[in-house]
Amino acid sequence: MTTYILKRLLLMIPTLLGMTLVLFAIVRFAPGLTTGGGAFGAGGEMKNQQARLAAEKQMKKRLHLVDAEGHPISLPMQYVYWLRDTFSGDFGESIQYNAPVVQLVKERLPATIALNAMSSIIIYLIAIPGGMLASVKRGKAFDVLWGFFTLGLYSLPVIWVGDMMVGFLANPRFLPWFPSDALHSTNTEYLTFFQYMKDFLWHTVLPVMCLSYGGLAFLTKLKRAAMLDNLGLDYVRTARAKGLGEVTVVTRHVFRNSLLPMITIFAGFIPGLLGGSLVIERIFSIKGMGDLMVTATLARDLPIVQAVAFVGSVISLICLLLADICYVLADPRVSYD
Amino acid sequence: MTTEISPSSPAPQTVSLPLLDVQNLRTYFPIRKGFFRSVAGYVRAVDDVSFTVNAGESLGLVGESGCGKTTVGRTILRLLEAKSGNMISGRVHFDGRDVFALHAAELRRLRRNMQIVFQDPVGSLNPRMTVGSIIGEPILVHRLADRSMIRTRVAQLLDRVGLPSASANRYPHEFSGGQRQRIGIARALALEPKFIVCDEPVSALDVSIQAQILNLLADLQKDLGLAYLFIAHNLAVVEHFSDRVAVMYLGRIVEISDSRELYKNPKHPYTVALLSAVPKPSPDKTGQRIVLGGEVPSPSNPPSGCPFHPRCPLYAKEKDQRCVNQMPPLEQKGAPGHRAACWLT
Repeated sequence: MTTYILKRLLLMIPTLLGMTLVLFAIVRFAPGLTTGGGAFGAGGEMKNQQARLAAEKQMKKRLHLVDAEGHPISLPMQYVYWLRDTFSGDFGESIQYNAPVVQLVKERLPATIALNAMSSIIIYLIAIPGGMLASVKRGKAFDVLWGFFTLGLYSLPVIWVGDMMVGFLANPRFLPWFPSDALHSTNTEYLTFFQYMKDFLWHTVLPVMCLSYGGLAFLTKLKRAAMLDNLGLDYVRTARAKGLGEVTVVTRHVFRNSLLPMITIFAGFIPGLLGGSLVIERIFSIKGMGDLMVTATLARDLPIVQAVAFVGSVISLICLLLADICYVLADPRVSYD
Repeated sequence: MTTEISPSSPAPQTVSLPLLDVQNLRTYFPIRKGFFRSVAGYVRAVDDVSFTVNAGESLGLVGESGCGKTTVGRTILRLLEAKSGNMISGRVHFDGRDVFALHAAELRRLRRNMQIVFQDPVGSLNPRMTVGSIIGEPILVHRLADRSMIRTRVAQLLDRVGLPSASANRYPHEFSGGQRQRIGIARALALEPKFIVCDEPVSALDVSIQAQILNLLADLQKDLGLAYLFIAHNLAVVEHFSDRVAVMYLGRIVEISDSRELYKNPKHPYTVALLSAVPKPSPDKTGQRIVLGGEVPSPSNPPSGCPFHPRCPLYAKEKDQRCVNQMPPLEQKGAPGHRAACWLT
């Protein structure tokens, strides 16, 4: 197992290199590349022509578009320089915010991770028992209603749901139950830890609901289908013939065998949620990675776009590795040694 | 049918109560049609089947594929329930208890004494469990041994079926078909049952392995006093194995008899045809092969009268109207205990 994980980690290096190449190519070939300078200078005030040119030249150097003497650098060499900087932990400086990208990502990452972790936990906590119950009660009222409900959830676009939530549940003119923006109130300095946590959870209710419901519906359906596949198999009859109670048959035998599709999904699922964060963080004005990415893209803030995409790729790779490890744990027939 | 002990059975009990008593068993599966899945008819998988099995005896149940043999076995063990439109009627008594009247908890206790070896040794073992937990789980569930004793017990069982005790830590896919069937047998034995339904236990195996498994089953019967309901489509296998044999056709038993008597002196034309299809080991005995014409009729719409008459060589010769109009009763023909359902023999 340890050898396998080491092998996989080594294999991640070429994959990561390939991903950086694609990423670099997409970003550099995208139209509208700007090195900012004037338009997004510090404070946003207009500068004179000379200062703007100087700032732009500085930024071009920083991005390795030109060398020290101002001669343009070839694209492959740009890639090599960028790669060197990235792997040494230097993601450059944001054109928009005039601050190191590393610092921005450090500020923004916790909010996004918290939201996504909470959503994933909620999704799996509801989808697995929900799907199991639906499969056991196949064709009964619960299955039909639950199936209808989850299909409905799956069909709702998150942009609409998010806006409706803000408009109706976080609006003093309707139900002012939840806050409409950010992950904590202002003036949190005087709150105790528990008060702070309460405030934080209160702020996360709506965004986490938005992030969860689609995946929840999808995973429920998937779990139900996987359970039904297994419930029809011969070994389940064997388990019943042993004299096991139905609950034991379902939880001990069928449950484990129907976990594999859930693991497969997990690998692509977390990166997918991060994508969902793009929209939701905007709707709820949460200062997270998604918000950072959207504003950076709109402002053509190259270093941020590259850095966020890179972090996303690394997270995807880690999820893939985790999924593979879970495979081994769930299915003894899978052996990687 | 009343209580009956076949002459060849060892009959260790002085009481003449059979271990398993099946009376007028019927299992119908619904055929659903249309948008609302309304029941359009029934497949009569098992239609009025009665037989008994005595302690320590093995009853062979033969018939071509689709005749309801497996359904009989599963209905008796209540692995098929009268759910989702299945119609099950008749009475099954095991050890004096009405199997169909048991509650879930009582049924699980009954499983200790009634076990099954499945046809498919690959699919019937949970691929994600070690052999040790597959065999040990029923022991644990029925609290026959505590956790510390289970390893020893599993090792004994594995040894009993001729597998190394180290197999306990391995997974089913690491074994060959014959070995997996041995695991299935060890699993069935784990609860020390009195009665085992062997649902075509060797039909998925090579001929050489078949003999090993059959000999294992026979040894276990001798040593542990097991009773078997041995379901097979291969008459040669059943002859080797069974004290008595019941022949099924289209959900009904058409002939039941002491095994030797049946092979020597078959009374039902269907049995005669089946026996003629068994390859003879001697080149001198060529024998006339009876080829049945036509297809097996559908069990959802069985022929009138004797279900065998459209394919029956005797009916083709004699054209007796009773065959078309009336179901022949399963009545004694020849030796005591030999009964067949035919108007013409």
